[in-house]
Amino acid sequence: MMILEFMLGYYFRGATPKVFRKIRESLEPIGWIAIINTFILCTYYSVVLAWVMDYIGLSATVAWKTVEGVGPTFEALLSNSVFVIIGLTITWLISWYTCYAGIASGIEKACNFAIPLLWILSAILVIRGVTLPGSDIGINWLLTPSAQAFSGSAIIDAAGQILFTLSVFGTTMIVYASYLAPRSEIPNSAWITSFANCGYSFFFAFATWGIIGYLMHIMNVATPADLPVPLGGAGLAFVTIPTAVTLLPGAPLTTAVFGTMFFVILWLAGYTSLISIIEPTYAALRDKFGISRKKGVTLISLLAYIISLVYAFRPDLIDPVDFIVGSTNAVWIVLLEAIIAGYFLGLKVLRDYVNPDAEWKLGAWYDVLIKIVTPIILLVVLGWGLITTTHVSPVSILTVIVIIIAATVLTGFKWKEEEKKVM
Amino acid sequence: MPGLSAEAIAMLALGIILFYVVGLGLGIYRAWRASKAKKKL
Repeated sequence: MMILEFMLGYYFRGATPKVFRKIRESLEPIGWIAIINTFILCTYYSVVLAWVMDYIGLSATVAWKTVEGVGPTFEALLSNSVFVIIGLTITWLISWYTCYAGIASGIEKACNFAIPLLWILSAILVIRGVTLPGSDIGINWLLTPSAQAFSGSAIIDAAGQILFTLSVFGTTMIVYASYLAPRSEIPNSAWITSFANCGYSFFFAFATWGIIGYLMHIMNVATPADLPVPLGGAGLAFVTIPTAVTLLPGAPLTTAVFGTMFFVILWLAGYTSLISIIEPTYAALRDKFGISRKKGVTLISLLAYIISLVYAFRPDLIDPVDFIVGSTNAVWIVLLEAIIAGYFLGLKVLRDYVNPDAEWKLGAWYDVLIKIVTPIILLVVLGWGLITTTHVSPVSILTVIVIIIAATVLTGFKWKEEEKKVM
Repeated sequence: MPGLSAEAIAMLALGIILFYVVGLGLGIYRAWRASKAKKKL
């Protein structure tokens, strides 16, 4: 799917609504659904980034002071909207300016700075994590497969997570690939991107699970589930890791150093993701309305910032919205993308376009993967997840309605190119 | 980490082979071969 998104962007040179419209005019609303979905994603994702930014300061000063203070510090942050809004405003200003500055001067420069720094800081944390007493206990848990972990909602969460972490949800990779120079090597670029991402996740897991193992060792518990701290979601980052770094040898200095380092890593990773989800929304508006980068990025950032304030006051809304936007929609948008490219466009067109410049050429086997294997897997994941989930709430349903209405309205507007032809 | 179980070591080896050897390693090798071929042209 990563290769497909690269090919769609590279071949059609535009964002998802333009790509789908060029395949078949009636498919444009699906492109807008993908874009609106991504836009909503950036509204609440930025709030999580704001928490992370606040935690950089809280870690540097070890604001929670003792292990007992870790949980209440996070609870106090969630109820202190002013503090969250400060982090949110800084996060949005940096992200807005990055996209506003352009591809080469903004996004490329930001990634060239953030990604090597991310790897260096991560390497330091991994070394610290795996050399802690008891780290092997946590790493054994990380690396030992468990049949009990396979549940419907765990699978749909995992599917949503891998699509999200690879930015394969029908928008970002299409737009990023549309900026590639002619005669680029597409299949291998998509391959390297995927494995660089997954390789990093695998690498950094040793820091997290090494630290969790240390916590299990210190608290003398047999399984991670016995720990009095959360092992998933926001709790893992904002409660468990601060608890563990508070108990590090050499605290409080090591708490401040490694705690700050952890949240800087998290913020850098989130920041590069946030700019990658602002960009496709801008690109879609540029394609349709001919809006300039500076105006478009400012409009989107301002609107998203205002909406994100709602989550700053009501963080409980994030989970039900994320279930739809970050997990469920990501899966079915990718499913539709595979069907549209496979059956409406025909993959041979794309393969013939990229293969002459490809070191790794795509054969007919690729068509089988996209037209048959991928839809079957995604349908099973989506069906199973929706049947067994307990996450659906009125907020989730309202989110779906908002996405459909917004996509319909945006589809209804005339394309700038068409207006020019009429005139 | 001497305390790793045989199962964990096997999964670690699998992860290294999958992500770094077959994944990143092969990708970087292909990119290097492609750039070499382009230079020849």
